[in-house]
Amino acid sequence: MIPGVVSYVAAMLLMGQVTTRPEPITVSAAVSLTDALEEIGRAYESAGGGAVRLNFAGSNVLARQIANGAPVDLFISADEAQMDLADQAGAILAGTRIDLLGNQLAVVVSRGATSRDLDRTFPGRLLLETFVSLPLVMPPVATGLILLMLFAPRGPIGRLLAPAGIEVIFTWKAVVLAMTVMGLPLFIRTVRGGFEQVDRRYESVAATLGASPFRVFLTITMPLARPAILAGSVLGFARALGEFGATIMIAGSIPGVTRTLSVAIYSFAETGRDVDAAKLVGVSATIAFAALWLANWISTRAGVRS
Amino acid sequence: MIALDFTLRQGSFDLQIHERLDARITALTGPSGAGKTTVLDAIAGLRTPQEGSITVGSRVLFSADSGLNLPPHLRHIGYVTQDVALFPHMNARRNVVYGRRRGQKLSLDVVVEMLEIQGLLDRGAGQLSGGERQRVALARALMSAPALLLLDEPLAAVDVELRRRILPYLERVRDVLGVPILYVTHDTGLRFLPRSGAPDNSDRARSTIASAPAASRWPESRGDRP
Repeated sequence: MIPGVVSYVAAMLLMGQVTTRPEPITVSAAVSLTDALEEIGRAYESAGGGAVRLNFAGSNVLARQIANGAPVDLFISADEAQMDLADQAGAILAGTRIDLLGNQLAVVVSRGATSRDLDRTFPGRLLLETFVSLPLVMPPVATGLILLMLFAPRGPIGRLLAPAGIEVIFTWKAVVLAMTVMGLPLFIRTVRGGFEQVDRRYESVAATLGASPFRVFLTITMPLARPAILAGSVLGFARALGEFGATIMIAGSIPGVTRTLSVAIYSFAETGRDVDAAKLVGVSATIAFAALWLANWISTRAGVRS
Repeated sequence: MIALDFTLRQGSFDLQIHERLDARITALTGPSGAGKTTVLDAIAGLRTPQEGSITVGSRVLFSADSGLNLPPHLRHIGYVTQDVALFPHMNARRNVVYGRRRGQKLSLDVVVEMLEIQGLLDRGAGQLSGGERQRVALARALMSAPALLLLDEPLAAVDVELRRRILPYLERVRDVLGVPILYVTHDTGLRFLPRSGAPDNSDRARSTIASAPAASRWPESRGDRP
């Protein structure tokens, strides 16, 4: 709970003159007071007071007008800082500034929501999620360059793999690596949403029936999140299919070895083989359309938002 | 014998229970918000008290002093929650056998026959009526051979006619299987499970949670002990 106090402050201004004869008065007030002041103004007029001219705007605007000499008789604002500003400008008649109203602001935060979220968290979860999602936002070529530096024979990971005879760069393994790294963020984000939607009651009941946490995950959580897992797989696959930048950095474009669909289209277009390129564009468009259609179909059927 | 002796705090809510239940069936009553479901959750291991202990039969399930807190899947507590929560991706049969333990004496046939759910087993969880879901959930809980059966408002969601039909099944669970039952209801006027044919109250006990938030207590347990 965050308690706060907002007070309404009213002040008679220098321009106002208290006389017995009804005179028109000008009132500047915050917009939020429109309804109340219109009613008060009517009451004032019908009680024999002078005509009331109401000027509604934001308190900061009104205070600036007043500080600059606007002819205002009464300034009503919930913003003490703006009232101070008018005060400091010498625009308020001494002794006429009064606190009119006060109220308390209570902000209620759902305790259940936060504790439930915390149930499934672990230290560094946010860091890990951000890290895994990086390839989604970073330029693929940059991701590819990082992978190249890591997996090159003299890179920190490549050096460990080399003694075991595992070469990554410019082999099919590089293609798999690039596609995995680029497709994983979409997969994980979709699947995570699916897991979060699984009703925890089912997991609780399964536990009381003697199922270990691992069995609960396999038999309850996973099957109930299945639509999201399928949709995530399709989206990850589609992303991998279109992968170009990272692939060309670490796998190159070796025909029959590492030349993927996307890379092949680029190569054909570059060498003027437009017909071949167009054919492959047709193939990739068909696959992409089918994959997205499948993902959407799975999502809508299960009522899962992806 | 079930011994509940614990304090569970949730925000400003302070639930205290000091109770020994020796009856075969105990009804836990009290107004909404008194923490009846919280008591069941604590016994099942879904919520953890801050202090005290929970003992069912000879097994200590929870003891704050010795740092013991058995996870729900090792407690052997059958729990039919208020919303029943049949697994939606399984048919009734797979729901019922989900918690079957190896080497238990209770056979599927006995439970199916007792609760008369033969015709329901091949239906999906979504294709069952309210009363049918109750019986399937009851069968599912029984098949895990629980040392104690917790029922949270099992009759709240069904109409009077269905109540009349479900009550006999609960009586059979009590009489045939001898599983102790702890039963939550807000309906203090409910005539609770009289023995069929002989309306005595020999195995009836009733406990009440007195007041709601701030300091909820469970002050007394009335009724005859068997």
